[in-house]
Amino acid sequence: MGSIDFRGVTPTHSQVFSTHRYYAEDYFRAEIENVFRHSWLNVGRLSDVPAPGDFMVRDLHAIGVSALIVHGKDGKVRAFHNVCGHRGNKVVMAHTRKGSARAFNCAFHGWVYDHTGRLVHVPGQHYFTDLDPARHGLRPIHCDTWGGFIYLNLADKPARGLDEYLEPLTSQGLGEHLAEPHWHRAYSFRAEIKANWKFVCDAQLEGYHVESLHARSIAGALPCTAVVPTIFEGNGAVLSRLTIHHDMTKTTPTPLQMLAAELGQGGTYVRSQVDGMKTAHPEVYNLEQRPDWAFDNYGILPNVVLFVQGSGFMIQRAWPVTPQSSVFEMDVYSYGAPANFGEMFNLCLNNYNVRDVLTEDLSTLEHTQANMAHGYRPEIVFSIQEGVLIEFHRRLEELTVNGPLQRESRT
Amino acid sequence: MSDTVPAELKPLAAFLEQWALPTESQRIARRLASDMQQLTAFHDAVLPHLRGLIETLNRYPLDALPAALKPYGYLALMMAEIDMAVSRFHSADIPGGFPLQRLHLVHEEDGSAWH
Ligand code: FES
Ligand SMILES: [Fe+2]
Repeated sequence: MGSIDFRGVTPTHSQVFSTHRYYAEDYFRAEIENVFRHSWLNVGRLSDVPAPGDFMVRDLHAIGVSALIVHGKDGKVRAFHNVCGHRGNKVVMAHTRKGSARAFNCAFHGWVYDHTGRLVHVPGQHYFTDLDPARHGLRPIHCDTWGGFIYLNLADKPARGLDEYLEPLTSQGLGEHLAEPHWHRAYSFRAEIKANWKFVCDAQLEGYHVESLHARSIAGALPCTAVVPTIFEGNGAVLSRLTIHHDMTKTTPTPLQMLAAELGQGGTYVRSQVDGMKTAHPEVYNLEQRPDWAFDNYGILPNVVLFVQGSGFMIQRAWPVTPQSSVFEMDVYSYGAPANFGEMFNLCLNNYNVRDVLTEDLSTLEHTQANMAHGYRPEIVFSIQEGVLIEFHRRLEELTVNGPLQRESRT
Repeated sequence: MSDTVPAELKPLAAFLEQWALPTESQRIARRLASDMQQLTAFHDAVLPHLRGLIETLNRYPLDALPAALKPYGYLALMMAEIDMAVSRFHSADIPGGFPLQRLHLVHEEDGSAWH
């Protein structure tokens, strides 16, 4: 395990990087314990549980949690370990991912919990001697919201509150913008990837690959190679911003993209003619107020890449499963639900275009993983252009090796 | 039924049987089962009518599309499905790409509002 010099926030030198982090069992376990179990984790949107009584289950077994997220009758969203206080069955079983319930009824012996996690009914309670209901209620998980997203933190006591964790985006007003009620889930897709979770993140945190890997799809029209990343100082979770602009001289939309641009809001790869939002919030996005702005890409530790566009946003999450496998998630949100077929056509074309381009991004991961595991490539190298990756792995490494306490004492 | 289909959509009726598929998963399967000759022929034949098709469907709220018109909507979404295949990749699948069949489509935009 070659140790590397990880000093300096803005990388000025390329960096040789030891690859055991992508497959070693002990390193993976340290990441789970010191990073994932001590970070705020983005698990979904408030709109996934829009009404009092709505719930969803998030099984993140590699991280050691099945979380039951509940929109309480009092309007508060809470999260609990989905573990019955009787003999530990899942209170909401795996086949029910989402729904609405007046109370939660464990299927095993029928214990009932209310929306605040309180144990409210035990069938045949007289069979138990001295049963203390308070001791057997659902165990809470720290749960908070930001930008309309639901976040969980498995630490006993999170080192930071969520607003602080997501600085400087909180001060920038991005959370308020993303929390506005008009955002509409336009698309979601998932994939099980036989590659370490960090490869999934790496793929979206640099523009160096665009000219080559996306040569057939978006290269030229979205020049990324020369983009200078902003790397946020302070060793926080919000790592980086990459701002991408269209090259209007090289953009040759497809016939369908040209038609769609007249029908609805902007997409990721095509500017819309009816999209008035591109220059709307100068303090929140498109900070340079350029008319050719395409999107801002934020890297957020541990496992999120957030793409902010004028009329939508996308979020990628990469979940560890084993040292050499992960789950990729992509959710796409648009400004409001489509009101007519043309708007839906516009959204669908963007969704399918994004999906096709992302399959290019996903295409390398399993090949790379297989090569890493063979062990013939103990080192890889990141360029200055891939500087966000240098900083991403530096921060992860510090948390993984030194543990979360180190992080608390740093600020 | 047929009297609710406006005349401008009539030229597209011949494509419905093969290409008007209601879900994204079905449209992906059709895309991948087709060769480029078939995709290009379908794409080029429908393209001149696509604007008219969408304008026709736009006369109705999305959740109140007449049943007879829905297949034409599916046809338009099939066009969206093959946009990059025809105009970018020149291949039914994404060359070297992660297989589309391995994506779990959790939420199909076209599945919520108007089925
Ligand atoms: S395990 Fe839940 S009621 Fe027994
Ligand atoms: Fe990419």
